[in-house]
Amino acid sequence: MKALSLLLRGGPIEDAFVYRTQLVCWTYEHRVRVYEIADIERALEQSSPRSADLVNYALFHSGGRGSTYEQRGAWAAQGDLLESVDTTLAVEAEAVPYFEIDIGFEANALYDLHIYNDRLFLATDEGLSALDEFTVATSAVLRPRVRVKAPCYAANSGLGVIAASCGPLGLRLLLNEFGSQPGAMRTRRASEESVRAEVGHSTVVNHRTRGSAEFLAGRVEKTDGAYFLTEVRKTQVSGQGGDGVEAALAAADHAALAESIEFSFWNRSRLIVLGLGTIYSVAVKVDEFERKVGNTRHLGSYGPGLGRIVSASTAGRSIVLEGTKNLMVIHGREVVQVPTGPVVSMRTYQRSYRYQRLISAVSEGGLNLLAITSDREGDI
Amino acid sequence: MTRTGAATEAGVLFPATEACPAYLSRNDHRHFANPARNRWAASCQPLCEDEIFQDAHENAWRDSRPQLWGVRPGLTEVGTEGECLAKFPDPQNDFDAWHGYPISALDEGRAKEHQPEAALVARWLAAGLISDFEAARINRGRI
Repeated sequence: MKALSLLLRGGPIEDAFVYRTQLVCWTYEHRVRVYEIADIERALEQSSPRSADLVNYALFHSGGRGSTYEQRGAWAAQGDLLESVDTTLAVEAEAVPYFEIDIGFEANALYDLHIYNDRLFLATDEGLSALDEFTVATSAVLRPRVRVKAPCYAANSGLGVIAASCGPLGLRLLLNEFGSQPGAMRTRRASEESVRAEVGHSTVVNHRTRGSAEFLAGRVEKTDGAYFLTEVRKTQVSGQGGDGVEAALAAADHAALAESIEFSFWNRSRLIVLGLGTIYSVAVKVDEFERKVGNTRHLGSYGPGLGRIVSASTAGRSIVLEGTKNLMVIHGREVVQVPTGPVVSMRTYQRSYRYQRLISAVSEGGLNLLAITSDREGDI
Repeated sequence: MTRTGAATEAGVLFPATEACPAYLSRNDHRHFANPARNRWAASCQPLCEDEIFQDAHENAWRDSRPQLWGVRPGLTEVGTEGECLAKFPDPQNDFDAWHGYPISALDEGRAKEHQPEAALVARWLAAGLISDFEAARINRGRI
């Protein structure tokens, strides 16, 4: 396994989200900054001609989508290239063309950035707001529409729904947010407390704390060929060991982990849990409004070099861990330490067609764009 | 202003002055007596604790909650688990000494309780105590 990386060095970038053909950033000056991915690729071709094709393919062209002939050739020859070229690259953030949009930001801080269905969501200490016209340069001040009027710490999406996590003020689900279904948009307060939530597989998994997981079973309807979550209700996760994921872990001989989960997240109908230096996945079977725990599987281990666990996600077939000291990527027994130092945000793009290997993380030096290659993976 | 502390059964007590109320560096936030409690690092002895408290009191580093918040310039670590912030709850009674302990938004079940509100973080940034990067990490619950 090897990490290929591009640092967009310097610049006032606080957060970033790669979407379609653009890199959408939030700056410390409270402006939206947008780069074209193609411009970033060109900048890399000019500064690192020997490495650019391979790194650009790995970062921006999963499965070869949108790649050039030269990039595909570099990827096919990666076994030889990886030994001979530099794969830790940098370009100056200010030297790549970009435009910025003034959104008349009046809050104190941005807590999260999310883009879904061509709409930009900004989670701040004053609420969650939404902006559609962020992809084209303009000198006008574009004011986002307020969607939730409570401090919002995290935003996530799926099945046509936006999940706004408002800490002690609960989880707000914005249903029919894009008007794709009959009836009005509506907001449902689905839980009393939320720091983060994920949506997928007819389920909303709400995290009241970083390690806990509360399952909300959803009713999904199909409209015009797409699936939409229309209603949720709390449900227990039942299994052989009793109710709850902790019981399933204890029944599978992981009682110590069950009491020390530091972080968990929902991924493709499995709950991934981290604690005590280990990572396990717990299968959860979706059956209408019931959720049943299935097998548990050990996914890997991490050591103390990471610091405390801050967040985790998946990229390609790897698990990406963000710690207080560094990032780490784990694939089975292989571990790659990524020496970014502490970061402000870490994102992966598993639902994207083009960016399945991509990890974006803002460190003190700038925006890190990373991809992990593995001989065993082939192309994703 | 440097104060001289006196050892008591509960900890080291720094007496009140005209400018600042009394502060108690409590033993249960220093030693292993209660492992559930966050502990000050060896690099931040009672005098250091009191200095952080005095700074918090003098500048009224408060948000909407009944406590003061402490921070050292550059987010220097003050706790045994790498904590960089401290919390000083308002005393129950006017005549009680203040006390405090290091905290982190990563403490289990305390993500929002141990995260200062954004308006206070903005004040620290404006005062030059922390950088934009550090302010963003605090606001995102990474500290």
